[in-house]
Amino acid sequence: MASPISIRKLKAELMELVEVHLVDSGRSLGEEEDLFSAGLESMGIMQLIIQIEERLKIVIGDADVTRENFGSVAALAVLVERLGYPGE
Amino acid sequence: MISERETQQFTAPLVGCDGFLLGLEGMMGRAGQGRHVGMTVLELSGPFSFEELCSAAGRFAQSHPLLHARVHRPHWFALPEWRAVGPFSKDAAGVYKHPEGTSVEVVCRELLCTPSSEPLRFEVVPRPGGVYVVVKWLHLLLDGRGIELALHEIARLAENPQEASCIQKSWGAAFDLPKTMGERVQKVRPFVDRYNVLKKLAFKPLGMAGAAPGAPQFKILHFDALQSESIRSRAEHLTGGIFQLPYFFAVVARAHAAVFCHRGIPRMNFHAGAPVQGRRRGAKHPIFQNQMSQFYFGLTHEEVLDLETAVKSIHSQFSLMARHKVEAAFLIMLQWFLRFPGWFYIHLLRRQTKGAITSFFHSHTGQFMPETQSFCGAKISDGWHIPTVSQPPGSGIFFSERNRRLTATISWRDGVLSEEEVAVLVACLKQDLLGVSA
Repeated sequence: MASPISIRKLKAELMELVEVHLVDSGRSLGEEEDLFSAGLESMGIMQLIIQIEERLKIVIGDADVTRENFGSVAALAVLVERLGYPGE
Repeated sequence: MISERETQQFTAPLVGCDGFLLGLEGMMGRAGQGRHVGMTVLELSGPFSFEELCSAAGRFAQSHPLLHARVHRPHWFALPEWRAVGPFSKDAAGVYKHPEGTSVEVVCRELLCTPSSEPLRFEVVPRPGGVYVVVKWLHLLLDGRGIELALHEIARLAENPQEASCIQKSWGAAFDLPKTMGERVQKVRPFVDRYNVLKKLAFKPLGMAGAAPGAPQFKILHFDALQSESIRSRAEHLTGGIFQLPYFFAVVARAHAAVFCHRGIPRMNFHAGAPVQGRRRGAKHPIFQNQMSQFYFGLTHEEVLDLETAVKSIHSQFSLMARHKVEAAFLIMLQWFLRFPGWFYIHLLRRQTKGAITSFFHSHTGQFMPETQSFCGAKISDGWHIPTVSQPPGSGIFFSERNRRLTATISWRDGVLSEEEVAVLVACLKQDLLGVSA
């Protein structure tokens, strides 16, 4: 299991991917904030999946691409950790 | 007095799918099908101000050079560009009023069949408790999300009657293309590979080329909140809840398959594109130009027999294309074709597909104007698009949603579908969407 510091770093990295590359909301998102309400659309999710896989060296299977897993940065962090994110 | 700025000449490069639309319009023009127009209907409730619309539409027309622009090619092998020379008149956006008792459907049909002098035209049709505003627009100038942004801007101008017209740079590319030729050559490959796979799939559209071009026809299907919720649940169940494109694409293909079956052709494959919108909701993006790319899907006659199998196939193709960045590759290829005459791209496409181009047109534009609640004093209670289609393919099915209620627009050309075939198509569509026999 990743350390609390790694989890914080992971969430920060996911937040950066979501905010910089996907949602031009012009404001900071909360960890628990609903990404779909914030404007995340299907192509954005696909790009997010590709970037997470490339940067965090994990593979997200089709069965894990659900509304629940992609609903917020916190939910995404749980998914990424479950899929074997090495932590550092 | 005309300021120096207003007399300026504006040029803008063609971007996104502009090249495709240019080729398509050329094909339609030569076949006597007129221009590629789109229509958008706003259903408004409560007091509506016709004067506010006239004023706002006029200021919008004076502020946006592309509404007055023509496609121009400086020399025979140069990239085409939009060119507009000011001053810009408000006449580019015409506003007309109809008397009580006029049928909005009749207005829409007449608008589709009559060439307009204005690139943007508004028709106000009274209805109990409010009005319909029917907007006719040119697809070469802007796409479905673009017209929603244009209407949002007109709504904003209506709320600010003191705001004078002011030239706006409302064009530009929502997608970034690689800068160097080397990078472009490398990144165009996924599209070529994808196309080589799909071209092996023999297919035909419902309306082939060569037939006398018929007038545009349409049928609107409104689904209430309960039905729309049930459709969303079915889509979520079949797709995992995030990507709805595979579900709606499969439903559209199966509705076309039902018509082929009715014609005694039960084994038809399908090959069609679905637009990938470059503008993101909530972000500031250009109003004008076709800020889209395309993904291309194929379904065999075996896959189309079962909804779940068809959805799974489209889902895996979608995932594969997104991972290989086919949408970026397609735009690089289109950009290269821009140097050739508009007909050249469509000519090549028709050679590859034995004249068919695509099985059908399809899009789901998502939430309809979610950022706009009122228009010229009245509340927007509903809204939908009525895209027209070229022949071939002669038919298309389009979706959008407002206030969690889904609308489907079936478009075709006279002579492509008989009344009986429209009924077959609608029945299959409803059965797949609602899960019950219509």
